[in-house]
Amino acid sequence: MRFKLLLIGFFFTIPFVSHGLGDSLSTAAHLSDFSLEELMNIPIYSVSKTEESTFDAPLSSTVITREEIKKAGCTSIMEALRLCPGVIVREETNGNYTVDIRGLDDLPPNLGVYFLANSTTLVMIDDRPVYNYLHGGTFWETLPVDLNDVEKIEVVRGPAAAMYGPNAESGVINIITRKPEKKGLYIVANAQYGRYNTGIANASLGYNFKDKFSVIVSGNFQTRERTQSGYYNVASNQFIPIDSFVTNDSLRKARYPNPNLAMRKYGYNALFNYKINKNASISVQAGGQNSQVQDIFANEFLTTALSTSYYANIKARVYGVDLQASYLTGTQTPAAANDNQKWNFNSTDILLDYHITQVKNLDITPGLSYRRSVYDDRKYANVANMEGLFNGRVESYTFAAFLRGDYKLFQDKLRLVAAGRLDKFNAPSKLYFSWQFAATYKLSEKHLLRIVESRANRAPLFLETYYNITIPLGPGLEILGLGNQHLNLLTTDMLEFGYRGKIRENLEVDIEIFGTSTKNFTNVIVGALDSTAAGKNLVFQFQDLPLVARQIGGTISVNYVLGKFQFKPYITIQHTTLFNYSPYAVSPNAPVSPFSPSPATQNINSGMGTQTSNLATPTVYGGAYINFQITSHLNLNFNPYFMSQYTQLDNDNLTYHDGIRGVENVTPKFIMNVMISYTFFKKLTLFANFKNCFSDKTREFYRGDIPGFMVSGGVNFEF
Amino acid sequence: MIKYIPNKNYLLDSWQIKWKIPLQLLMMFFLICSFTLPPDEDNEEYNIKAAFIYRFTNYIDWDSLIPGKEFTIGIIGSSPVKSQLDEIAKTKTVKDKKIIIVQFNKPEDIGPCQILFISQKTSFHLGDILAKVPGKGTLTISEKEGYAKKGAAINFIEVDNKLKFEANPKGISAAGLKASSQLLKLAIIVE
Repeated sequence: MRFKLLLIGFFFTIPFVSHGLGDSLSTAAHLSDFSLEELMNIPIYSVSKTEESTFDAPLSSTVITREEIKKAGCTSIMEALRLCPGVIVREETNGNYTVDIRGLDDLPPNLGVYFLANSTTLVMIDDRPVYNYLHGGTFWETLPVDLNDVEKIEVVRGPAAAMYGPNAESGVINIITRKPEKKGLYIVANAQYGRYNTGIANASLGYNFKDKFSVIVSGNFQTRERTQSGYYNVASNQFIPIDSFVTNDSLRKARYPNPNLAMRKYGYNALFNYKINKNASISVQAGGQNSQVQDIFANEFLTTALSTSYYANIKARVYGVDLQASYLTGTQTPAAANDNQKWNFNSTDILLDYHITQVKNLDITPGLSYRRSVYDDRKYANVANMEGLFNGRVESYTFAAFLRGDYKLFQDKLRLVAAGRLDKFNAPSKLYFSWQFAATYKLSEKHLLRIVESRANRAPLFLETYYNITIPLGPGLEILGLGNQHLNLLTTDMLEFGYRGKIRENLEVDIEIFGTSTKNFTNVIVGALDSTAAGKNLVFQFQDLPLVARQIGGTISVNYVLGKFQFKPYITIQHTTLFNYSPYAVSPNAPVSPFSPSPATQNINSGMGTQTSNLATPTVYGGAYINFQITSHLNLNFNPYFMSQYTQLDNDNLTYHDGIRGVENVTPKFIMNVMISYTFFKKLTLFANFKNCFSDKTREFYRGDIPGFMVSGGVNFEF
Repeated sequence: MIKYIPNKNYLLDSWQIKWKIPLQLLMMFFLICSFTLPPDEDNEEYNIKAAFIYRFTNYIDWDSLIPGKEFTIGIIGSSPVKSQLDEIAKTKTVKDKKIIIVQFNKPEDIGPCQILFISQKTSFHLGDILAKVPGKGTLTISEKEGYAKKGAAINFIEVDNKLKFEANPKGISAAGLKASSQLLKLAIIVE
């Protein structure tokens, strides 16, 4: 009740405060007494100028700018995504998050933490994919860049693989890094320290030589402690001390080298830009990162995840031809000191396209793409005993050809965008076609209608394709865990309608309504008994499920500027219905066993014809960016974020079936963040940052830590 | 491994709990939006632009090019600056002359004026507008990137969220006007 009153009270003060500010605005008559110098120093604000304009964009998209991130006091890229409509950001432990565009999480339900988060969002840094091909999604802590590197974050909602490649199925998050725009020296540095020993230090140093050549080197460091001690234990539904579940000293030290640590990471980057002439430019980026976090993986307790990686990214543009080649390589340990959880990996991306412009209002871009990813656990696992996850070097690649067209007609009032992409993977072998048709129609300069129809698929995941383990059960009986190279790729179809309106000079509204249908989910299925000379094998293999998930939903976002006050609320309402869902990961051909007690009636087809709701995605979520530029020096920002009730169902639910264990019932969350900053001489800003002001202590993710109120302070320098 | 299907009652309960809060939040969202709908206040940017236009008159010498007792500011294309200039005209004068604000809808309508403000909303090309500016004595002020280079005497631009202005000395002298060195010092000079 107290929470509700606070919430209501807070929001209702906004209009009055904002109207109050409006009243105090200077009138033209008053300003006409100012000198030219004084007039030149008054800051101005309007909708089109405070936000990167996405008004004409054919897809549902949002741009979060560096300025907004700074004013909102976001402490990481993941946290900054809470400023974006249609994005669900859940904290697992201090600073570690899962990020879902429009849900599509915990599918199929009861499967286990591998798939509790959305695996179908493509994250890129300067168009370079940083997708986690192991089980989909993103290992966010392994991004080499941090907020000091970020110019803006572009988010596209809805399937967009035809434009961005596989995995852009729920959407795309593209992190665009900064370049020194002005000639001369460029310095950005910031440091902050706060509760839970959270320390963040970032710095960039660059130089722009006559707009021809520019260079930046940057580095970032974060350390954060957990908000609590103890580890969640499913059996007792309690947090228990570490030595009660890992009794062996050396094993404990190997698995949990820093039990209080939530995150410690550093990254470094170098960027060279060379503009040869008007029609030719080249940029080269390279860097690396090292990270240690404790978060949730496919194990019973929190795990220590370790990662070291290096990347290079080259982009060249010559007369409408774009070439991008990138390479990422590293070592990944999602669960330290667990036998089968360490491997080397690398991924290569090459993209070539040619932009043919202005053929009677028609822009055409044909292109070719090659993506390859390799995982290799031979160096770390006892391959002879099949103790690794893959027990070998496995690779997945795709050759693709794509074509995009953009056609404007009726004095640019109608715009038609079409894109198609044909992917040929090594496994599965069949061809995949993703497409996108979008049309925008401008009723006037101030009102735009949109429609999008698209299909996108995920890339094959290493876990489901190349999983290869053997677990001895007893004499003459083994479990074989197998991947499957013939699975159908997860595919989403979407139909979306949108409207954007500039209701007034200082008020914009963006509405999108979408319906999606996603099929080809997979799970490890208990299969038939396989007899060999050595004995019997019970085969657990990834297989296609008849499950179909249909989403329907809509997002409304508003951007309102009144003088020095900006109010940007956004809200998404959605619901996911599951068709043909069966909780039984059992083939009808499986033998009767403890894993498959009645395969004839309880199998993957038992849910045919049924409808259930997916409870894992909050029905309503959103937030607001509320900024008061009190004086030209003093800024106050509120950025609340909320999620309605949701229920994550883990595999433990099937083990304990008591509705408690394995069931994370998250009551409505309301997280209020406040940032106060004071700028001296345009370059130096001091700030105080308050996160989760109402100290909402509801756990946000299954087995995660309980979040706490966080206060930090720091300094930001820009030259 | 024992399997479990969440029972119907559980799902139903969750569903009800799920919808109650969302509906409340939705209602609140619309309430907020309705409350915060902006009153009809003019955009601050145009308050400042109007003040700039008025202040420019102190730094430009029209010499003998102001016939009659009125100082006319013309506007082509609709613009919020009009109501702001109207406001200034109520209380201020330029060189002891009454300020008159005139709205022109198309280049052909442009009549004699000492200042012509070219709104960024006008759909006419700058060249067509400048061609219709009558003879000498009119200071053209625009608000679109590149317009000073294309012939407008003064052009507003935005730098770091603040209004600055470009001046085209050739355009100013072609109109038979003289700009003070003080004005040119503050302006970004565009040749």
